Amino acid sequence: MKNLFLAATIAAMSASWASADEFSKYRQILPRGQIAAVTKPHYVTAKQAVVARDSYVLGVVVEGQARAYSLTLLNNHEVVNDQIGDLPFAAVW
Amino acid sequence: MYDRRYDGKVLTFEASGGLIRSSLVLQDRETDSYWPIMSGQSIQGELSGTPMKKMAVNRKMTWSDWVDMHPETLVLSVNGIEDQADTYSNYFQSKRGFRNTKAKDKRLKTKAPIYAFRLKGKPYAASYNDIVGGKQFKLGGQVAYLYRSPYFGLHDSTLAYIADADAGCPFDASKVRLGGCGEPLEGFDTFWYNWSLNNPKLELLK
Repeated sequence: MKNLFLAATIAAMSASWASADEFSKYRQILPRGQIAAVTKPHYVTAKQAVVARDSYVLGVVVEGQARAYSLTLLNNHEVVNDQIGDLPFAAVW
Repeated sequence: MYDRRYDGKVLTFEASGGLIRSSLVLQDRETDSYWPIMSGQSIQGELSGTPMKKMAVNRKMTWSDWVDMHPETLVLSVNGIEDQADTYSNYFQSKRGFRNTKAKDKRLKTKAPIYAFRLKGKPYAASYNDIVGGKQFKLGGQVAYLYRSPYFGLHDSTLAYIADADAGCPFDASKVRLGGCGEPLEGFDTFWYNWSLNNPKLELLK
C-alpha cells in the first residue's frame, strides 16, 4: 500500500513538473481578451443566413439539432461557448 | 469541439492570447487554467493536468454541402454577420508556419496538412496525401479508418473512424464516407508543424 501511495505521489509530481515545463514554452502574443470569444451565441435560420456557398463552416449535430459556425467567424473569435440541451460545449477549430 | 464540463463546473473558454510552439492555447474564465489544444490537457492553473474532453460531433465542409445535409440548421450570427472575409487566407496559402515556425521533424514539410489523433494516449498522424480514397491502419487491437475524398478542399474534415480489429468491420470507402463503420475518431485536421512540434513522439502512419 505504501509503495502504491509512493508511486501515485511520484506520478502526480512528474505530471506537475511536465506541466510546469510545458508552460515555460508559453508565449503571450496578444493581451488576453483581445480576441473576443462568443459567450452568448445568436442564431439565424439557414434561409436568413448570408453565407457564400463555397465558404466553409464547422457543423455540429447534438441531440438531433444542427448548428453551423462559419470558419471565418471562428477565426475572429477563436471560441464559441455554446450549449445544446444539457451539453455545454466549445466550438473551436 | 470540446465538452465544457470539468470538475463540477461549466467553463467559459476564450483565447489566452498566447501560444505554445505556435499553437493555440485557450484559457477558461472560471479557473484561469491554460489549455493548449495540441497537447490536449491543461498545463497551468487549478485544473492543471486535466485532459480536454474532445468530442467527435462536428465536421467542416462547405456551406452548400452542410445546408444540403441539414436544411434545418441554425447558423451563428455575430452582430448580424454569418460569414465574412477570411483574415487567415494568407496563412493557409503560405508554405510557412506562423511567424515562420518550422517543423523540426523533417518527415513531412512544415505546412503539410495532416489528420492527427491520439489513441490510448499515443499521438498519431497521417498525411492527407496518404489517405485520399481511404486507408486503414491496424493500431494494437483496433483499426483506424481515415478517408479523404480527392475532391476535398483543405478545410474539409477528414472522415475518421475507429473499430475493434476483431469486430470484422469491413473497410469500405463509400460506407466510411456515409459514416458507416466503427465509431467516430476524435482528432484534428492540422498542419504537420503544429502537431509534430507539440507531440515529438508521434507515429506517422503510412
